[in-house]
Amino acid sequence: MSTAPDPSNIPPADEVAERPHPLTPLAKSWLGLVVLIGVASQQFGQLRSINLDVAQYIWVILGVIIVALLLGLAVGWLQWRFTRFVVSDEQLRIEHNFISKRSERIAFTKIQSVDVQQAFIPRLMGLAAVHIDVGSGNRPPKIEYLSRKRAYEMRDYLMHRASGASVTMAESSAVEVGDIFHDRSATDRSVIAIPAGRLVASLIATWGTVILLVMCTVGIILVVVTRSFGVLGVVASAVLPSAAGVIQYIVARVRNEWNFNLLVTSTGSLRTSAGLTSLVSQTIPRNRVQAISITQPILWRAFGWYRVRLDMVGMHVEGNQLKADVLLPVGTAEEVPKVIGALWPGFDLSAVPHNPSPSRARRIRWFDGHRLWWGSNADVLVAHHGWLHPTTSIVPHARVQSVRLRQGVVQRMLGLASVQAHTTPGPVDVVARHLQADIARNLAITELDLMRTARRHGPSWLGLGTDAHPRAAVTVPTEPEPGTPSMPWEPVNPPPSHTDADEQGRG
Amino acid sequence: MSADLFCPPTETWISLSPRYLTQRRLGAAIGWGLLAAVAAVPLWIIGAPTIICLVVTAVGVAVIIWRLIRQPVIFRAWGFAERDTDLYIRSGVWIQRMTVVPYGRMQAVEVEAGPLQRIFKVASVKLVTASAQSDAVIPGLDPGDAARLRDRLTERGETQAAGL
Repeated sequence: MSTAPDPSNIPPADEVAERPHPLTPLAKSWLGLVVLIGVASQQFGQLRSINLDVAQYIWVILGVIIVALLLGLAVGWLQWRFTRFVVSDEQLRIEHNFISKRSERIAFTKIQSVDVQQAFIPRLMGLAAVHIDVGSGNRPPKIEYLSRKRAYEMRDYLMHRASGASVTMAESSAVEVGDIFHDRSATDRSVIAIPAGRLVASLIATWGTVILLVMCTVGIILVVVTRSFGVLGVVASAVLPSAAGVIQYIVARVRNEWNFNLLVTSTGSLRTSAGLTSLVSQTIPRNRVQAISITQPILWRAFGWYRVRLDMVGMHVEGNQLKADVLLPVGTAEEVPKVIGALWPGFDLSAVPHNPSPSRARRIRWFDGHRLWWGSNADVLVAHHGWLHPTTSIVPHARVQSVRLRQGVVQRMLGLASVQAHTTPGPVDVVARHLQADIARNLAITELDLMRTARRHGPSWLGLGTDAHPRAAVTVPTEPEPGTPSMPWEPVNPPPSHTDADEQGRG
Repeated sequence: MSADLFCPPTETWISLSPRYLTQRRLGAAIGWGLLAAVAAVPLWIIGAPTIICLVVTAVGVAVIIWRLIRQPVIFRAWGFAERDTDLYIRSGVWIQRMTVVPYGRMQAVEVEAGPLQRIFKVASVKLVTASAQSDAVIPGLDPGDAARLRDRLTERGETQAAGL
C-alpha cells in the first residue's frame, strides 16, 4: 500500500510543470514590506523613547527594513522555487513542496468559479493571483502570481473546461484578454460599466453624509452664537471622528466598487470586475445564485438609482473567502432589468402580480405600511418593504429552502400574518409582510407546492439541472424591451385592487 | 381565526412528550428563581426597608408562579405533523409560528439531548437546511420517537432530495 506511488504524482511524459512568475517573491516581499511599515509606524513612539539621535534612528529603521525585505525575499523565493502547477488539456494540478509536500489535483468539472485578484503592488508589476473555488474546503486552491495575461487566459480556460466545453489550452489562449484596467476578453460581452462619477455621487448621497452635514451646521451655529473656544473644542471632537468615519466608508466603497464591470462570458457565466487600487474579478456561477434584491435608498430616489445584491451558495460559509454580493453597485432604472436579464435571462419582474398588504397594516408599519406588497407567479416569490431603503426581494420558488408563517399579538388583533421564504445566508431576506391572515396561510401552503413543482420543472432561465454549469443558450437583452411598463419594482401608490387594475386595463 | 390559521394541513398536530412539560417547568422554576434570588437576596442582606424587600420577593414569587402556569400553554402550542413531502412545525403563544420544511431540502437531521434533557428522558430533533433562517427544531420528544423520526426524515430526505 505504501510502496505504490500516488499516480497523480507521476507526470505524463509530455506535460510541463510551470512555476509561478519569477517576480512572485518580489511581489510577496513588497506586500511584507507594506505590513512592516504599518507595524513599525505603530511602534514609532516606543522606539523614540530609547534615546537615539536622528542619524542612528534612521539607520535602525533602514536596517530593520532591509533585513525584513531580505527575509521576505528569501522565504518568497523558496516558496516560488518549490511551487509548481500543471494546467494542460488533461488536468489541473498544483504542487507545494515547501517544507511539507502537498499536491492538489482539481477536476475541471468540480470548479465552481475562478477569480483573478490583483492586489495593488502585484498589479503594478503586471502580476495576478488565480483563486479557484471548488465549492468546499477551507483552503481554496490558488496560484500566486502569474503574469496578468497568463492569469486571465488560465481563468478563461478553466471556466471553459468547468462548463464542460472541450477547448484546448492553445485555442483558449488565442483569444485576446484584458489589461490592467479592464478584465475583459475579446469573447466577453459587457452588460454594465458603472461611471466613476455616479459611483462617487451615489456614495456621497448616503445617510452618513447627511448626518455629518447636520452635525456641521449645528456645530457652526453653536460656535458662532457662543463665540467660545470650549464649544469649538467640543464640536470639533464630535464632528471630526464622524467625518473621518464617513470619509473612510466612502473611500473603502470607492476602492472596492470603482470601475465596476459586469460581463457575460462566452460560456454564459457572469463575471464582475472592480477595484481602484486592486482589481478583483469574480465569476458568479449563475446556478448558485439563490435570490436577489433591488434597493433604492430614499436619498437615491431623486437620481433614480438602484442597487442589486444577491445571495449565493457558499458565499458566507465559514473559512471561505467572503465573496462580494453586489450585482449592481449603483444603476439606473434601465440598467436594473439588463443586469437581472443577464443573470436570469427570460425572467420578467413586471409579469409578477402586485398584491398590496391591507391598509390596516399601516397601524403596525407606520412608515412603509402603504407600500408593502408581495407577488407570486409560477416562477418566483417577490416581496417589497422598506421606508428608508425600499427593497424588492426576489426568490425563485426552486431556490426556497423552507417557509414560515408567523403571527404576532398585534397582527392577530388586526387579522394579519407574515410569510417568510427562507434562503441561503446572504443579504436577501424574502418576507411577505402583514398579509390578510387567511391569504398568508394560503400563500405559505401554496408556496410549498410551487417549490416542489419548480424544483422539478423550473423555469429554463434558472439553469436547473444536475450540470454544475448550465449551458442553456444565454441571450442578454442589451436594450430594455419596448413597451415594458414603468419600473415594476416601484412601490404601488396608491395600491390598486385587482378589479380596479382590470378596469383601468380595459379603459 | 387564529386557531384556523395554524391548524395542521390535514391531520392533527402531534404533541411533545409530557416529560418535556416537566422539564420546562423545572427549567422555568430554576431560571426565574435564580433571577428573583439575585434581585431579592442582596436587599435582605444589606438590610433595605422591609417593605421593599417584601415587595421585590413577592414580585419574584409571582413571576415564578406565572411562568409555571404558562408552561402548559407553551407546551401545548408545540406540535408537528409529517406529510407526504413536508414536515410542519408549530410553536409559540404570543408569536405563533408555523415552519414548513420540505423533506427534499433537509441536509441533515440532528438528534440532541443535553444533561437536563437526559434526566427527563427527552431529546430534540433539529432539521438542517441550507438556510440558517429555517431554524426548525422539535424539542422534547421521547428519545425513541426522536430516533425513529430522524430515521424516517432522513429516509424521505434521501428519496426526495433536491439540489440547491
